[in-house]
Amino acid sequence: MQDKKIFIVIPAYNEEKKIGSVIESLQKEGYSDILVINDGSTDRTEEVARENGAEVLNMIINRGQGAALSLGIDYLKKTCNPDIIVTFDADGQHRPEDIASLMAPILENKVDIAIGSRFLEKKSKIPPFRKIILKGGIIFTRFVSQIKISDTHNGFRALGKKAIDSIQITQRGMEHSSEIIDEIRRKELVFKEVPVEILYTDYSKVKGQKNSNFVKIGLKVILKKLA
Amino acid sequence: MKLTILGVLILIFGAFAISRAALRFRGREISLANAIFWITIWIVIMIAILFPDTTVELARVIGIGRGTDSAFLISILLLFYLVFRIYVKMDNVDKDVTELSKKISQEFHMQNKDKKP
Repeated sequence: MQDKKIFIVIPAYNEEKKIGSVIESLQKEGYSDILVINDGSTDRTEEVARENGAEVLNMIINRGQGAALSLGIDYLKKTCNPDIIVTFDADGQHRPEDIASLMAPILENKVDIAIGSRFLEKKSKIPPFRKIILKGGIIFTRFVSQIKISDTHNGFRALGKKAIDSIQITQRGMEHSSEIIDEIRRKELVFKEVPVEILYTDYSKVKGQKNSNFVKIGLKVILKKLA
Repeated sequence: MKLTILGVLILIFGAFAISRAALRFRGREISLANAIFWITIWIVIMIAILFPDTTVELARVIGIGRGTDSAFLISILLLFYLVFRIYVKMDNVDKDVTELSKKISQEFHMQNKDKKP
């Protein structure tokens, strides 16, 4: 694993309260190449991330998580020739301890991309209403993308070389998660879902996706298909 | 069966739309579910044009009494189409803004990185 170039990409928008501890927890797990995409934050996200030793790439205006991720992946592809890119949330929902198991199937050359799933093992304490919404999203994706997947909107992923080179993210908002699933099918990538734990805290519930957003995401996915 | 000019135009457009959906599916641009959805929609529309009695029967079942109401229906469909076109254009502009932001952000970052000792 040591000779592999592993990068962690964190899209962040107004995360000054959490970004420092998230970076620190990643460093404690041995990950030093951390790229924070500061998505037009109006608070001290940039300074806090820099002070904690991450490289910060500032998006000039707020464009959404999909745009931030695609910028981060593009930038790393051009400058660092990464073997694996792990996408990680800035609000402390993801556990750095899960990264090793997420990357394992890629390091063993078994898959091109590994996607975290909160439903494969029942560790995550998912709020009931959120669970219903997420399950609805899964059925929707199964119909639209024709891929059987247990957790569509999980931002915790590990991309191997083939996935880094071939996945194109064009959706700038949260609907990029569905787009990545679509890309897996379209580019015929081999994928695996890996159980991860999502930590629902009061902070992450406020900062994360609102339940009502899922309707908007569904509509955008449909409209994109029609356009 | 008497076809109006509008009917013929819709049939031609329908055939074009079906072939386009099939080609886009073949080119893997749309999924099978999408292709089936659009092809079904256009087949239903073409059946309605070729056999108008089916729509009269449908209107009777649903409760729309007069055939003249079709004018309203066409207006609504036209508006829907225009709104959809505006959405597509707006979405394209939005994508351009995102691409520009990404490009400028990356260039700015690389320039500043090079300047650092």
